[in-house]
Amino acid sequence: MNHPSKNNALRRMVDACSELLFRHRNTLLLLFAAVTLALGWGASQARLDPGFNKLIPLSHPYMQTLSDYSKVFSGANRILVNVRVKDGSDIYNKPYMDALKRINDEIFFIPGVDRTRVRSLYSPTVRYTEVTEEGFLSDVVVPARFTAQADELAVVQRNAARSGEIGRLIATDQKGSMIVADLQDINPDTGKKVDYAEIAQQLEQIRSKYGNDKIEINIIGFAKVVGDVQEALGQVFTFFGIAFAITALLLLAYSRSIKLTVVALLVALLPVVWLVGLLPVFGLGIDPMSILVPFLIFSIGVSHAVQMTNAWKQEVIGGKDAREAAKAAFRKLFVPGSVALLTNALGFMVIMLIDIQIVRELGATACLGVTLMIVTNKMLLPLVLSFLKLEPAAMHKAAAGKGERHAWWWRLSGYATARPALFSIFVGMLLLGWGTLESRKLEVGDTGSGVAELRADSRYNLDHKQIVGSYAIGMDVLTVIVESKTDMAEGSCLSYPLMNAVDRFSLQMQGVSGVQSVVGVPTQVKFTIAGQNEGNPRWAGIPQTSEALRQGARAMGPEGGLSVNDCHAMQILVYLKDHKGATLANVMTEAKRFIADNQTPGVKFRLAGGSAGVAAATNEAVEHAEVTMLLSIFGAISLLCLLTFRSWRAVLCIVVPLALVSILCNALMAQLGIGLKVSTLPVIALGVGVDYGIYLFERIETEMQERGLDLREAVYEALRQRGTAAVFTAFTMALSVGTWAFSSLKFQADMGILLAFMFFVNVFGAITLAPALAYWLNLSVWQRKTENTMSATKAQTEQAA
Amino acid sequence: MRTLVGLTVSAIVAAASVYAFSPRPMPAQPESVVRVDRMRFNDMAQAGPRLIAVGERGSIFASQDGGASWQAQGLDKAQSSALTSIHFLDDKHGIAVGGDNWILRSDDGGRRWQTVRFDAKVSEPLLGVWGLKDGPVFAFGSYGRFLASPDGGKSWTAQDIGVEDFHVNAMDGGSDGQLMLVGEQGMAFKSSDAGKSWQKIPPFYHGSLFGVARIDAANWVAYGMRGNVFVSRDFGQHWQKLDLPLPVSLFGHAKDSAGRLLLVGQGGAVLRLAADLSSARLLTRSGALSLTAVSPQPNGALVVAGESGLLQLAAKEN
Repeated sequence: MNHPSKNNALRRMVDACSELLFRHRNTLLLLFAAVTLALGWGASQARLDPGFNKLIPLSHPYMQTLSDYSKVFSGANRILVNVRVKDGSDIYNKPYMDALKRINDEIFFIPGVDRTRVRSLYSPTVRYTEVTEEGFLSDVVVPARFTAQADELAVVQRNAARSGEIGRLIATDQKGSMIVADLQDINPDTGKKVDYAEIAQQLEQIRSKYGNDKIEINIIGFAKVVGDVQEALGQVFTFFGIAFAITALLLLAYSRSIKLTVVALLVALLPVVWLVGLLPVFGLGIDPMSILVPFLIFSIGVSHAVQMTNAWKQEVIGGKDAREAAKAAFRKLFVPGSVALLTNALGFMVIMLIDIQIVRELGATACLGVTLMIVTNKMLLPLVLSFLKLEPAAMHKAAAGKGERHAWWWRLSGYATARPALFSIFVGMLLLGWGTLESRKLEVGDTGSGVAELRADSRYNLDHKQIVGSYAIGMDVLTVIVESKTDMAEGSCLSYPLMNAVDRFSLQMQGVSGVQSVVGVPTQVKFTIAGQNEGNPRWAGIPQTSEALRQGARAMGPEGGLSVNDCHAMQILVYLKDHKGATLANVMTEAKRFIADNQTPGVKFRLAGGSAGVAAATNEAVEHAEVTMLLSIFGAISLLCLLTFRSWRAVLCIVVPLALVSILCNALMAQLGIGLKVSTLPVIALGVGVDYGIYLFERIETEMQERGLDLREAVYEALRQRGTAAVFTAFTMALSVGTWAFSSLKFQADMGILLAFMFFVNVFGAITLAPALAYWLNLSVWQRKTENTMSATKAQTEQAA
Repeated sequence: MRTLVGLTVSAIVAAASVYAFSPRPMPAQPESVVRVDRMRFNDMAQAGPRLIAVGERGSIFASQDGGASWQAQGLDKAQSSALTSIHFLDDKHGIAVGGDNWILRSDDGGRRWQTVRFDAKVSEPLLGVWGLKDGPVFAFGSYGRFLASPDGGKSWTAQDIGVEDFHVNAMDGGSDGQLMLVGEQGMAFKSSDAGKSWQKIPPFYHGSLFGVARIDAANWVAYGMRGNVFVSRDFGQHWQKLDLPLPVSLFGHAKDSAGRLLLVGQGGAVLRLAADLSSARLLTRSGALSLTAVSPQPNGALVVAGESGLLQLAAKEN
């Protein structure tokens, strides 16, 4: 018999380890304390490290386009401030124009704002062109020395109508106008990196200063998002606190021992401290988006700590002293616990293959954390326990039920017999059928409009909705780069094939669902040609010769921000109504189809930059990553389980319920309208719940092999010894992460709901479906083999005697 | 046997997983359409019950339901040039003109269009077309371009009527043979013999005139830049400037059911002239962009065309 002997070898090794560990327990504890102190100091130095680039799949072809032209076409980091009248009137009145002027000036002087690029009605760059009987007339929209007298207001209104800014700088309904500012990366006054949170705060001050019952101010832009998210991050820690408190209380209620509670919590917290302390060593920081990882490490830590303290307690109640009990607990749990943790770690390692830096960092962080946990949980915790003396109250309560069968667990273990097992499998199949169909409705990317990090009814998203609703532009812009080659001496600008291709593309995209408006060089060329011809709109077209195109040359220069000097590169701005995954996918598909169907020699369309281009690339990367990640994680689980149990039956018993839960999780996401994205992708990968199955089956195996119990008895024993801790952990963790659902950060709320679901449903699968599968996969073979071994060992012992 | 059950279950879960995680279809999105509310339209004409609109990139759309829905109409050869003007001689026969000397004609009420002329070598736009069922048809446009067709638009010959190289923007007339055309820099010509001969009207305005409307044989209205509307009560001998509530440039006109003249132009302005041509009032200002054409519908609503596409304006008091 091959398997038991190898298992025996493993067992002997674990025994040897435990001897070694406990012999040097004082030295080791001292060492751990020193490490904790050092890393704790390091952790206190850790800082938030937000980065926009981390969210971008840099090697995606779209992002290549983006980085190729990011220096040429700027304007990505823009803030839009919409000043809107609340009553039924329009913007052409004195109070409004005065307020706009003051807001404009305040924004102009915010440090970090590129003062050459602030645009509002008051800007000298905002001009109208009028063709008069005498010829061209071009002037600023708001005249110099404007004092908002009635006649001046009428002039402004007339100028505004001719400026081409309605829908862009002025709301389509003329009830609001915009102040647009570009932010610099480096503040030239101080030479420091521009602090978005600070800018967001200043904008907020402007809002409270000028917003009143007549005027409403809407502010959107990346800097504002960062500011709002960072402000809400304080809340994240509150939620961590709540979760911690809930865990502590329930742990206390469960163990009836303050000592055990404190020890379990502290030891679960330890890998978090070590992890945060180690991050700078590896050159990593905590990103606001991955701030939840430390908490996940903590929760996985609690799960394992509860198993360990519970096993120790059982040994103590069984009559052993603290040290022997700790040794025994170590021997029993080292293998299954480490396997569960290694499974997690391996899974996280594979996540790092995914081409989005933030997911990589998340994988690296989580992998490191889980690996640290093997040390803290499997080595440090038993050592600490060996010094502990259990309170009499806890002893008493635990000892009360000793000796007799635990009715609840006994009934549950019935799932390891034929008929109940069939019932359990039947229910599982029903859920599988529903979940599979429902999971097909899961969407990749954002499912709401506005910014997904914040809730739909957050101030930011309401502002966003208001602006998108009253302007033809917004924050969701897809930029398409058009490259061209030509033999013409003056460059491509006057090339009819190029202008025609871009114009056709623009017209085509206008009709695509989700597109709000399209702006490109031809748009401006048409406007200019009409202007050159008495402003007659019937001239607004793309003529077919270079000579005729020359009339629009004024619109082709780089100052318009849409092309480079000789037009060898131009950009088309496609404004979208939102950045939902479905919208983006549709727009990208239509754009790709047009590009493929309409090849123009020497003209190349390249997708795609802008916020929508980034989002589309991210969605494609996430979609691609999902399958890779699941395969790798399930591969890792299967492999490690196979190595541990050396039984394909056991592997199936553990993996099949996990697969079912993964499908159900997708179904839940589809039901709740949570999209698959960078922040929700890792939830499945985090593999919460793997440990339940591994702990249970390790016990089942041992009980069947060492004590020769039949399957049902072994399942009962496993549930009695490990199930309580597993169910308790699941309940506790589900409850504490469940509170996140109330967070004002949408991604935290989503994660909380999904994690709570995973914690809870996984344990349910492990205690009901896994035993049923064990019966129908005939895991009883474990017992037969063991009987042989047992009798062989018995014979040996007798001989020796 | 027992194991078989377990294996079957495992296989089902595996198959379901493969299906569940295989590439998911995106929720269906509305199909891409041509958005007539986002394209530039330059002119409209009624062909029996059908309203036909022409605009950028050679687009021709027809509506049977008073502008509520629009269908693209067929043409033999698509061009990127904009169509600038459309005119129907009767319910069946129509002519459309546009950029790059493009002339199209239709014999079936605007359903199918055939290219009669196209010349992109010079790339100068025709800006208007006008004619009578049994009379001559004229197409005209930039730089004094002036073409006449004796056969309802099938064949065309260039004519020099003395407009030099000024843009000719619009023409109107009646079956009595009294015609008038207007153009760049206040240019205006009239003809009393259905276009056989033309007389220059002494300049009454130095800006561009974008349109001319015949009310009856004597009463004419010409309109142009920056709120300049002129009324003549003697077939162009004398002109009188009308006071306008809004100084916007005007680009198109039509008559409502009561025969009153509607003018449309910049800033989405729709103006209506009193029946006696003595005053004008502003009906709506629907937005920022220019309107180029208007078509009153039997229900009192207006269909307007312009830089922001085709749209219906609700019926207002008359």
